[in-house]
Amino acid sequence: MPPSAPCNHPSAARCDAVELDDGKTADEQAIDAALRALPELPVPPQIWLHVRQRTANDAASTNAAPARRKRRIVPLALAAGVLLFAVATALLMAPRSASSARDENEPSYARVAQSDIELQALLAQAQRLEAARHRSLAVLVPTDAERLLRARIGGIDASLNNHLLDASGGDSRKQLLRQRVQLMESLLHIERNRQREFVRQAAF
Amino acid sequence: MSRFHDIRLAAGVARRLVRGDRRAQESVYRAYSGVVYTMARRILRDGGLAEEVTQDTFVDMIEKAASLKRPEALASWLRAIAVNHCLMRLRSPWQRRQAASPALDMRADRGLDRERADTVEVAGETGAENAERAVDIDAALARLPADARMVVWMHCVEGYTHREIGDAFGQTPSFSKSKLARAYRMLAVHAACAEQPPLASRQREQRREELPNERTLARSTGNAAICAL
Repeated sequence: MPPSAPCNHPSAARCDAVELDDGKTADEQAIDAALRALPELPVPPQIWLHVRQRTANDAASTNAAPARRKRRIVPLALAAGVLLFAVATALLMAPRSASSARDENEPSYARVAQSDIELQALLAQAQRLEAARHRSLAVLVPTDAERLLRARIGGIDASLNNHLLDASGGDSRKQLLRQRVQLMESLLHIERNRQREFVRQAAF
Repeated sequence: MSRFHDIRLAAGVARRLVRGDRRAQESVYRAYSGVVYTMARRILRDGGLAEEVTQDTFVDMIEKAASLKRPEALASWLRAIAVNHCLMRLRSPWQRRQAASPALDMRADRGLDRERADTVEVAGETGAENAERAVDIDAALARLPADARMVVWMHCVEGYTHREIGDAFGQTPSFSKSKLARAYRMLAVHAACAEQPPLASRQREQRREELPNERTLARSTGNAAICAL
């Protein structure tokens, strides 16, 4: 819009209809001017006191919030720590007791094989290993190797059941039992190592 | 063209405010509380609400000063906070009920500047005339719906653009333009009503008598009809 010439007419009324630079009529500009000329109102004195009070309260509450949070977090952290310690102890102690029991009381596979009561010993050893596996907590997803070992143990168990049914082949039964004990030992060894590793990672 | 931007703070006050200096907070309050309170009072027409807006604005200022990236933009920042608090009050259901009965609204706050005029030391005839004119325009402003008052104040006094006003209301710039155009018409009529016999200045009367044109006649006839209602 091209700038219009200022209204120089002696009568102010004549200028009312003239559109000024910013697109406002003289009336509108007069209203603007009157609004801008409105005096500033006196501010009630108590407002600043209220502002100060409110900001002080807010500051106190924001300082108190971390303390409250800390009060809640500390017992929770302690409880979690105790629980973790208990779980770790259970996991570490169970395999150790099984292994120590085996070390002290169980004859090794080689020794058992030489004895007369080889079959009973193999059975007993297999049962102990089984019990040791059940005592340790199965918190981990089995690996492929563990699955394979379990499958082979299952296969041997199926073969042993067949031998029991036909009540023959004492040597082959012993052989199967030896294999089973070996596989059980391997499986237990793998599981124990994985559990130890898990506990170590959870603790640190 | 903004009351907020007309205020000049001492050097370094804004920076100290950002750092959380209590004396700077008080300095800024002393400098800006008048414009914040006046804006809230003129728009909301309620002393209690205006106090609330002023309090909330300065509480926000103190609590959020650290987030102010450019201390030199303090005036705009403070104005935006104050405008937001006014808008929040306007949107409240209570305020909407009030706005539905503008006559009550006007009665409640009539004489805002008459009180003020009493406290102002008037020097001579010009001071008295100014005070009376302020009473007239304020009374006319009080008769507007609340959202129109807000638009008028934001545009005419604080210099907001139509786009900015539209954004603030969640509307288009056309919303602001149409509200403002209607408000101007109403303000002109109310101001004319108030001015008619007692407040018309002698010079203006003389000019009108000199050259009564069609528009003035039509307006005076129309105004007289509206004023008579």
